[in-house]
Amino acid sequence: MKEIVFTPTRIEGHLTVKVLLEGKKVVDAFVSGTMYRGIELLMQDRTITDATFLASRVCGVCSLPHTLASISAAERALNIAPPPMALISRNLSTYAYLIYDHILHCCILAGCDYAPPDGVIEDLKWGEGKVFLQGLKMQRKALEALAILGGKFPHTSAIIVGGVTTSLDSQKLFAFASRLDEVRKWVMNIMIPTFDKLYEKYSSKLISGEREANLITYGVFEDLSLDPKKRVLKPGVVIGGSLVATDLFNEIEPYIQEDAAYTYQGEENTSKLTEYKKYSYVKAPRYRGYVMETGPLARLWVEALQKGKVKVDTIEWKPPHKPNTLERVYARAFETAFLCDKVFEEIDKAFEILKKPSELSMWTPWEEVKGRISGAGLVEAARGALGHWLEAEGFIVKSYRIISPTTWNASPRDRHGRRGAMEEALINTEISSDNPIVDIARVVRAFDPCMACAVHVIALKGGSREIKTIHIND
Amino acid sequence: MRELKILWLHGQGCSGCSISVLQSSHPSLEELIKAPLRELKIDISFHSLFTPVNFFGESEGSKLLYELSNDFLLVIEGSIPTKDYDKNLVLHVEREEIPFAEYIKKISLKALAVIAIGTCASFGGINALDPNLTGARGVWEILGSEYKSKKGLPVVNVPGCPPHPDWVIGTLLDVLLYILGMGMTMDLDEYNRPKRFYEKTVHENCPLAGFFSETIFSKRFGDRGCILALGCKGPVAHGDCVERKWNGGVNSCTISGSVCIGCTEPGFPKEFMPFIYYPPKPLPLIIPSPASIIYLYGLYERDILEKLLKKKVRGEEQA
Repeated sequence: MKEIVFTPTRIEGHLTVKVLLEGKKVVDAFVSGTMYRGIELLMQDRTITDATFLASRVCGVCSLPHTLASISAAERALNIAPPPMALISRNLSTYAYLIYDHILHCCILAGCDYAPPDGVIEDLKWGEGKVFLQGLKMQRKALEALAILGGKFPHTSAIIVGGVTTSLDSQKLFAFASRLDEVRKWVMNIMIPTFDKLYEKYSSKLISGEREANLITYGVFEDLSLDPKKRVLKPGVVIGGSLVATDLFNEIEPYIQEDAAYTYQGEENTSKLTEYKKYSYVKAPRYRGYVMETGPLARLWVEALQKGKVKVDTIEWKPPHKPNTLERVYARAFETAFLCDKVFEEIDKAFEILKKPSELSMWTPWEEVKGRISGAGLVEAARGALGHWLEAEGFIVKSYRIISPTTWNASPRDRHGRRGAMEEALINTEISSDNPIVDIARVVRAFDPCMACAVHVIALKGGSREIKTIHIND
Repeated sequence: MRELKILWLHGQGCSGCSISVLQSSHPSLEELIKAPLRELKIDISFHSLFTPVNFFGESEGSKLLYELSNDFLLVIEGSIPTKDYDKNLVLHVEREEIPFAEYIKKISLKALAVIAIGTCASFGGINALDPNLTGARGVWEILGSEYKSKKGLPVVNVPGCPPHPDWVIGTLLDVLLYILGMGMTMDLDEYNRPKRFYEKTVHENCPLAGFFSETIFSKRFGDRGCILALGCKGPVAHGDCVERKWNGGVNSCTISGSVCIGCTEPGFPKEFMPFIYYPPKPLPLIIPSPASIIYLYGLYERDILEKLLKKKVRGEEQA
C-alpha cells in the first residue's frame, strides 16, 4: 500500500490530504484542516453588532454570506424584520457574490485542472486560456456590482443589523444591472459552452469522487415574508437521492449534530475521547447521523426535486444518478448561468418597490433587550449551507458557533468512524494520470474547499470559556 | 527584462487580502502575469490561491521552500501563531515538521524584502483579539523590530482588512524598484506603512467631512450627515481608501453610509470596538455645539486612541 500526503493549492486555506493507494485505486482517505484561529471564542463578550463585523472576517472569499448569516442570527434573536428594500438589496448582493465566487472557482482556481498539461480544455489554461483571463475580469465585474450596494468586497461594510446603510435608487439599480448583464452574456456565450465541452470530453473518463446522494441546503434569497419555504432556491435535505425534509427550522436545523471525536481542541468531554487519533481542526457535523454534502449540486438537486425541472434558456439540468467529481464541477458552472438569469427577476422586484416612496426605508432601528436571547442564521455560501448560531445576554454575545459548508464537506470521521463527504468521495478514485496527485486534487477541488471557514472548534481543552454544543444526539 | 520572484505565504488568515488583490483593475492581475510593466515582471512563484501548480512544493518557484537560495521577495498574509496548539499551522518541509514562526524566521534571512500584507500579518489583527488563544502575532513582532532584509529594508506593513489592491500592488512595485536600485527610498511611517497610502486619515479624505464641519450628524443609519456619532473611527484610522474607493472605484465604507472600523491600525479590532454606537453616542450631540467643540472632541478621542495604540505596540516590541 502506498501513502500520499499533499497540500493542494488553488483552494482557500490550509488543507492536507492523505490517501492510501492500493495499485491504482484509493482505499482510504484523511482530510485535515491544519490552521486554527478560534474565531468563535473571540466573539464572546462582544456586542452583537461587533460580532457581525467579526463574522465577515471568518473568510475573505465568502465574507458576504458570513456577514448575512451572522446578521440573520442577530435579527432572529432580536426579533427585527428588515425593511423590504433592505432584503432585496441583500439578495442582489448575494446574487453578485455567488456569481463572482463561482467564476473565481470554475475559471481561475479549479479550471486549469482540466487544461493542458494534465487535461484537454485549452481555454482553461492557467495564465493563457481565454476563459481564465476573461474570468478574472468577470469576477471583478460581479464584485463591482456588489460594491455598489455593499460598500466594498471582501468584507462588505454596508450590511448591518436591521437592514443596510445604502439606499437603492434607479441609478444604482441600472449600474448594478448593466454590470451583471455583461457578466451574464459572457457566462452564456463563453463560460457555459466551455464547461459543456468539458462535460462532454470527460463524461466517460471522470467518474471519480462518487458517493451517496446525501445532500443538504438551507435555501437562498430571502422572501419578503421571511418564510424560508419561499426562498428562491429552496431549503431541503436529500437522502439516498430523494427529498426527505424541506422545513428549515422544524425539520432541518434541529437535527444538525456536531461531533469532535477526531478534532484537535474539540469537545468539552475530552477525557472520554482520548482513544481517537485526532487529525484535523475541522469538526464533524451530521444530519440525523448521515454524512452530508453541500454546494451547488445540492441546491440544484433540491430545486429539481421540488420544482420538477431546472432550466436556463434551453439548457436543462437533471439530477445525475449519484454525485461525482464531474457533476460537482458542472453543477457549479450551470448554477452560475442560472443565477445570472434569476438576478434580473430580483432587480424587477426592486423597481416595483421604487414605485412606492413610503417603502423606501432601508433600516429598522432596534430596541435594547434584556435577558437571554438566541437565534440561528441559515444561508448559502457558494460552496454550500452556512449556519451561524448565537446566544446573547442582552446585547452581549455569550456563545457563538458556526457550521460552514466546508465543515460539512471536509469533515473528518465522527465517533462512529463514518468518514466525511470528501473522504467518502476520494475512496475508490482510480488513478489514470502518471501523477496521482492530479486525479486526487480534482476530487478535492470539485468541493470548492474553503478551509478558513471550515475550522471551528467546540471548546478549548481545559479552557474556562465553555461553550455548550447545540445538539449531539447520540 | 528585470524579473523578481515572489513567495507569497499564508499564515492565519482568511485569504481576503488575496481576493482584494484579485480585484485590482489597473494594473489587473491578467496584465501583471502576462505583460511585464516597463520591462519589470512580478512572478508570483508561489501563492496558494493564485498559482498554476497543483500542490505545495511542486514548481520551480516553490523549491525556494527547500533550497532557500534564490533571490526572492517574501510576502506574508495572515498572522503567525506562537502558542503551541497541537498542530496549528505546522508546515511539512521535506518530511520535517516546522512551525510557521520558525519557518518565517529562517526564510526571512534570505529574502530581499519582507512585506506583510493585511492587518493580521502586520499587527496580528482579528486573530490577536483578546484572549489571543493562538498567540497570533504580526510578522515584525516575530522577526523583531531590528530586522533588516538582505537589501536593508525593515518589514514593510500594508495593513487593512482587507488592504486596498492599489496599496498592495503599489507597495510591491515600489519595493521592486527599490531593490533593483531604480527607485527612491521607501518612505515609511512609524508603523512601517508606506506614507504614500497611509499618511492621511480616513476622515481627512471622507466626502462626509463636510457634514462634520457643518455639525450635521446622523442619528440613524441612512440619514444625511456625518456618521461619527454612530461609531465611525475615520478620524483615527489612516488610509486613503475613501478617496481611492474600492472595486473599480464604485464605493467605500463611509460613502456607503456605514462606519469606518479602523481596520488599518495597530490595535484593530480591540481598540476600535464597539464598531457601531447604537443608540448613537450622545457626547457631542446633546450640546448644541459649534464645530470647534466637535472638532476638539474628535481630537480628544484621537489622542486617547493614539496613546493606547502606541503603548500597546511599544510594549509588545520591548517584550
